Amino acid sequence: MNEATQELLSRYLDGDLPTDEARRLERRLESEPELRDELASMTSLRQAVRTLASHEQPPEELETLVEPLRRSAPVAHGVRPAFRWLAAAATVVVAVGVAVQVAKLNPTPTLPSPPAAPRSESASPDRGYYELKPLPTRPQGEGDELLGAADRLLASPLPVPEIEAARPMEVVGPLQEAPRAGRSAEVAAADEPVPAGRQGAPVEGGEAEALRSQERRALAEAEWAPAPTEEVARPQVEPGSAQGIGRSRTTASLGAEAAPQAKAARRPVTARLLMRIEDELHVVAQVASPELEAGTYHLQLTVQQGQITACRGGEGLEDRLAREACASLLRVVLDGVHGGQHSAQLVVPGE
Amino acid sequence: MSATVRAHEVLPWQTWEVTFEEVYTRFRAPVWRLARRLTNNDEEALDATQEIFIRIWRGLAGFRGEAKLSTWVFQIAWNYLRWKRRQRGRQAALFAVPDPDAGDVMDRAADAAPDPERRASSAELLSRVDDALQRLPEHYRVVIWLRDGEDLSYEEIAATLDVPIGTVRSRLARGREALRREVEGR
Repeated sequence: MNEATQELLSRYLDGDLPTDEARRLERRLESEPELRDELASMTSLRQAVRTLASHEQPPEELETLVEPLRRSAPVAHGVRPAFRWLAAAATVVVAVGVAVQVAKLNPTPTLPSPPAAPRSESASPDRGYYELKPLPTRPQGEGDELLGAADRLLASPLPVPEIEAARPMEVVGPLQEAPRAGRSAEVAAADEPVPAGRQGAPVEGGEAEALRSQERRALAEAEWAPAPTEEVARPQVEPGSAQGIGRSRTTASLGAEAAPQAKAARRPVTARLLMRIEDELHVVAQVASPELEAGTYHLQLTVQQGQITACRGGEGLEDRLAREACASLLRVVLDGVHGGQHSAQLVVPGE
Repeated sequence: MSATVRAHEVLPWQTWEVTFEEVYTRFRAPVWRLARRLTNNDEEALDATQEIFIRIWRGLAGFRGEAKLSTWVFQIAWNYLRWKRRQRGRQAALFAVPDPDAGDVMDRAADAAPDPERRASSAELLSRVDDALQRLPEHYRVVIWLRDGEDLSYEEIAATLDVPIGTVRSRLARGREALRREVEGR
């Protein structure tokens, strides 16, 4: 059977043939058993594919993975495409009507136009009568500074948290200096859940040093830390609860689609989120392959029950960068950080 | 805002809204199924589905209804899955070893058949079709799946894959023939 006939059968099966072609094919089907068999086979296979589809349901694990997105979701809104033409036409009609009314209200010039005046000038005799003033604008308030999609997610509609009493925080990555050769093991250890005995342990090496020195060291460490194989080191679900759930599902940060070719060529890097808690700088989370240029991003985070509920750029950070930095924290969980507002730094190392 | 408003259901003079929750509820299964069909692996399909819904989440505020919602969602899914395949640089990923758990789908589908004999033959056919689909080239597999599995129109498939409608017709015909040959073991 040639391809043209196969395409005819395929389109007939889908009701895509024009009526006259369908009738011609039906006449052929009556007289050609081979054609009937082919159509029956196609129909059977289509039904099998439909049956397969109807019985395939996503695993429940997907609910857990998508839950952060569902907590606060954007809304698409607009008007129907067909109505856009009507709206555009209505706008034109209104605009013309307004123009006519304005022309009627304009006072007729009391002085005749100079007879020798060019046409373009005589067409605007009222020039200078009307002063165009800018429309009043609403002063931009603090609430107008939301950063966009990421903020709408992160600023989920939870009540304003009451700041709890300070409690020891879980340290994901110790800040002590270590030889470079030992870093991979340390990062690997940071990928694992923090042992019970280590939770709340003070950061080593920070006790006797000045704060500035500690900060410099933490930043330096974050900058040369090699990337772990898993892209996000912090597990978001208790390990061992089900196969595959214990590890982070995150495989790419937000915005990967924006420049896929560029990303494909990039070596993965791991950014570190640092917070100052009780005058000490802690690495509280790691973010795999953020879509950010190398550098340090100062952010203001609101944390409640381990979730980042709001994120703003710090002073001096332009909106676009703040928005991208906040978006990269979309799925970060800060279990050990007490509720409230925190200054944070997201340190993105160079490749 | 009504939780039941859908972009394609509202009247022309009405504005419409669609929330992420609505999109997720409606398309979680279709997106997962497409990801599973194109990765041939449940684990990868789960990761891909999560990533696709992140992209939908990011893009939803900018969705203005110029395309049908289903087309928009499938476009995002298809673009991501194609990009993921290119990123890995291994075409073979799309022809990976079938997931051992994949048989569950056939079992569930066959169990729905009315009597034991038909159940057995149904299970065998479904198993063969499932295997054959995995072996089909991606450009055939995706059109067959979108048309027969998800019931998209030719126009929607063309918009999703960004190909002319004539290409959809020819790929569908050739793909169905290729599927038949695979199922029959020829």
